[in-house]
Amino acid sequence: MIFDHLDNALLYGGLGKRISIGLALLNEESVRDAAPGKYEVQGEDIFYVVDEYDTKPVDEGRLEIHRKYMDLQYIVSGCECIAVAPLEGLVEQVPYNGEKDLAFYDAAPSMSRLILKAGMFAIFWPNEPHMPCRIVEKSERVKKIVVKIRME
Amino acid sequence: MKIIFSLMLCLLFAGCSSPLQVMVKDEEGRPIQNAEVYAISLSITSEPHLTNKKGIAHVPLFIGQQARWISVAKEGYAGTFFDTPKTKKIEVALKQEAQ
Repeated sequence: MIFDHLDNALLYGGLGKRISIGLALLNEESVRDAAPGKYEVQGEDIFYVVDEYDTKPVDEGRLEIHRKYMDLQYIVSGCECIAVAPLEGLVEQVPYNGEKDLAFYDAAPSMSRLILKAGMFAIFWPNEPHMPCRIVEKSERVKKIVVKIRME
Repeated sequence: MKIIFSLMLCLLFAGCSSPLQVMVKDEEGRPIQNAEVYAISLSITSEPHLTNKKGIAHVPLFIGQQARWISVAKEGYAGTFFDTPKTKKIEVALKQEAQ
């Protein structure tokens, strides 16, 4: 997992071409201004999803993992908490579905919390459980871009 | 012209906001109360919608984007998820997990 501000994106250039493309995308005004929806960059290998939503309580959430795609989550506006925990010891709630590239786990009592403000990003590798879209202090409107990068 | 446009917008909005009725049962057809039903898009999961005594939850399908998938979970049962159906009602049977 990586958690940083987009100003430091160049630090991560050595992690591979697809990650560099993903981070570079977030510097483009047209991407940050895009309306909610799915946008392809390199077919299904790299695409991004723009969402606007109100953050939700942590206790209503559950952890998710992907196995094929990495998530690069970037906050355009607003502020949200993303809870994270190691996969080991988590209780599976909904088994992995390869077609949807998604599995869910019960929230863990000892989750760590990342606070993402506008301009910050977090990268979750496959099998790294994360619970996005959570309240920091009170529910607020967030605009977020999630770049999905195929890793397999 | 404005009226027609407004009507079209209303119809579109009504279509987007129409909740899905999910009935959750066990393998023997008994309703499961307090199962958690979620709408899921490519990047967002809704809050849980709990089933009532009849095993029914109503789940809004517009969560910033239109939901692609629905997932159902209940402690003691194997959770599942599936593509958002085109129908307005769906029944889901959960398998009890081995003790």
